[in-house]
Amino acid sequence: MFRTHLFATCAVAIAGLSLAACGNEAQPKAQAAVERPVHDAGWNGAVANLAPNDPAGEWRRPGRDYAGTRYSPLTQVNAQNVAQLKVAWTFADGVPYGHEGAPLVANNTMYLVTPFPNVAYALDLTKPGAPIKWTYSPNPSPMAIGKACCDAVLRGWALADGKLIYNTLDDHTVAVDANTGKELWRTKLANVENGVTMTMAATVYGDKVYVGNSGGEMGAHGWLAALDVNSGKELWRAYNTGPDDLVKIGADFKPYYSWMRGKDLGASSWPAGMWKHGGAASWGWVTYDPDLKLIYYGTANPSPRVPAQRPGLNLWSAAMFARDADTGMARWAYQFTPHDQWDYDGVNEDVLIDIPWQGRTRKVLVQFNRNGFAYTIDRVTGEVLVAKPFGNLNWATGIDPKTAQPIVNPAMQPKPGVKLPNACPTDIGVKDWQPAAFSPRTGLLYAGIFNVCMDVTDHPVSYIAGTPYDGMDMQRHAGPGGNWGEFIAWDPIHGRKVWSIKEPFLTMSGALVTASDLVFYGTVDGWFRAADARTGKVLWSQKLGSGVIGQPIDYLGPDGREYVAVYAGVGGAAMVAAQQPGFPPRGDTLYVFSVGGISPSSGPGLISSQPNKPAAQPDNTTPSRT
Amino acid sequence: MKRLLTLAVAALALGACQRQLHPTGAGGANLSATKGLPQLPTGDIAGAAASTAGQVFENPYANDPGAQAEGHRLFDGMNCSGCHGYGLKGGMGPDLTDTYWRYGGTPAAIYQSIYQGRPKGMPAWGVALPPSDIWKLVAYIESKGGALSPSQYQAGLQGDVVPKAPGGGGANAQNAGNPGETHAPGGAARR
Repeated sequence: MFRTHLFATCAVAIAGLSLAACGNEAQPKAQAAVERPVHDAGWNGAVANLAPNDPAGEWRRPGRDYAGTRYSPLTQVNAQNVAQLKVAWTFADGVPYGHEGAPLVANNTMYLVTPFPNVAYALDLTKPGAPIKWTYSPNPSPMAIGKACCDAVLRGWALADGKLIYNTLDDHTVAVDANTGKELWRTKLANVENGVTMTMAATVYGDKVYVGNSGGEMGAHGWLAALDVNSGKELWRAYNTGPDDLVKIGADFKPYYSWMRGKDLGASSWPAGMWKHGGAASWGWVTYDPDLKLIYYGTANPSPRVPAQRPGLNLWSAAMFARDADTGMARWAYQFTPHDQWDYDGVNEDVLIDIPWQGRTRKVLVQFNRNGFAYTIDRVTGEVLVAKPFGNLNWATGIDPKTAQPIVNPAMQPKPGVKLPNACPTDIGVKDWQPAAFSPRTGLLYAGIFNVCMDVTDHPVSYIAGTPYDGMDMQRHAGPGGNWGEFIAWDPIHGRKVWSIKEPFLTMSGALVTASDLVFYGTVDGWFRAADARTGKVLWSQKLGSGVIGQPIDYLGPDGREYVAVYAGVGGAAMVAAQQPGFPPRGDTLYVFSVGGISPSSGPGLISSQPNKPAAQPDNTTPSRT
Repeated sequence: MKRLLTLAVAALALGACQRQLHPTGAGGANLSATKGLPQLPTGDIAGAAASTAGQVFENPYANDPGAQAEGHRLFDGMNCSGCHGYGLKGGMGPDLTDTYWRYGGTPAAIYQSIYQGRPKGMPAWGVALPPSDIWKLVAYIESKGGALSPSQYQAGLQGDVVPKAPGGGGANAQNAGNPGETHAPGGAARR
């Protein structure tokens, strides 16, 4: 870190920044590799294991750490100077689909992957203008565009073992050399003709790459697979519905609640055979406890989305699993929404934290479920400790504390052919996939959420491979108050909102929280904001060229300076609100900010990128490729 | 082959539900040009200043209320509505009511898109459905007002059909369309 810091200081001088400017701006120091957060005065006692404690200033996986906190130890940007954040440089990729990913940074290189056609870019942060170091195109099938339910998106990528690893929309996982962009392996996971796509961030823990499928609207059979990080070879695949052997349920499987215990429930809780096209895809996030050696991930809606066609609990849809990270065998499971009737996928991120609970420390996970309840769950046993609404819902009146099952409001159960008005939330939930952040300084989680309701009519459907197995006809509208979005701070111990910011448009960006108690998020109408993590006071806002549905990160440049980066490129599920007056156009741009906009990429005089760098993928802007 | 069987089974199952769909009866996966497929160019014709190709194909079921009703049942039964919406206003797939057509909006061109499929996820139905069913689907789409008349072939090709107001923006699935594919969410300005 220190060596490159010196080098970059030279680059800054060459770039023509005046010495006076350098003098006014105290040169930031390289930070220690491991930092333990100092708790804030209002701290509620919640902490997190920040393993693997990557060097401060790098960002190697979307959640930053195994626990998925999205907590940055950087402090240069703080409450005093955040209002002076300005654009340092930008990068546009020419791809018109939703930009949901998190940029990654390691070894003074930024790694980006576009939505379909999933072109990877490595940008050289040591040169003015961050020129392209290498680029790689996996050439996915265009058929995948029309099989993806919710835009041709990609939610992230991973840096591990010297590789950039990610999924393509047409069901391949690829690994390329992080230094050269050379393809190292490419594994086919499914056939896109069957309506299966892959949109989640490949996630690497240890020597395994965890990937799952999308396609719950197309009657996919949901699964999570583990690949060998060196070869890409598939090691195991655990299906999310079906008999126990397919689901990888064995003697070690001990769900906390008795209604989830029994043989082959993933098949018997469905009408005969319907589990084979029962959805329950895995398109969200995987987190990892390195002490328990367990992975945690959720499962999506059951298929078809017409509940009258599939009486039963429909296990293990709208649920989550804790699995042995090595073998894939299930340790426990919990179904958030039994017999889901509203499309409440359970795939949202499980943030792993430790809380004080009735006099002792409990290892828990927190999930803001689409169904509107925020769950604090013992991640050793699967016991639900807290389940409280974090936004507007009317499908249930609460969670039974004994069984942890929702108490369903009978008036809000859709019936085939009958329009049910004003069911809340809609299919996209009170919160969708956009990941929350956790600060061990405040003990709070921070999340962008929705306030949406629907008029819904169910239409019974038949399974035809490659076509929607869906049947849900919706008109969506804002809930009470008229605001589509909101950004909240949540106390996971007491199950309550600490503060909230109402947003007129959907709030579907990831969250970033820093050790200087700043929390960053974006809105679908294109505002990128920083707020005080303790009070929710907005300290800075910047309008960007499109709606923000990406995941903000921060990093240290080779010049030792802190930068904040986020995509603006609306799309994905946010397009359900595309008719809202003022909705922005699509976009394709990564924005990078620094205090004063200072960077080697701007300043007085003539600045130029280094010559002889690769061109962008020459044809990825032509209609045939995008 | 497995997929064919699935389709056949699905079609039979639907038949059992009294949706009055025809089993495929198709002998294989090859799309045959002799089964009523209009021979219509998808692009313009090299060396020709103007083409009249689109004008010679009328929908045999044009303005037939019975065919429109059966086309409606087919549209839902074959899961077309899952992509294009129960109101045909688009979603995963394009809005079919807004007079914007990437592959042509005359009845014959719509027939061809259904029969052949299209590269970005639109399946080919020429194996699963007989020509009469495809024409009935076209009749239903025409009844929703977004199709072009055969005489508008040239105007459609040259961008001279005035677009209707943007559609409903994907009322069915969680998405609201693919920018290169659909006209639905927000209209032409967003394409």
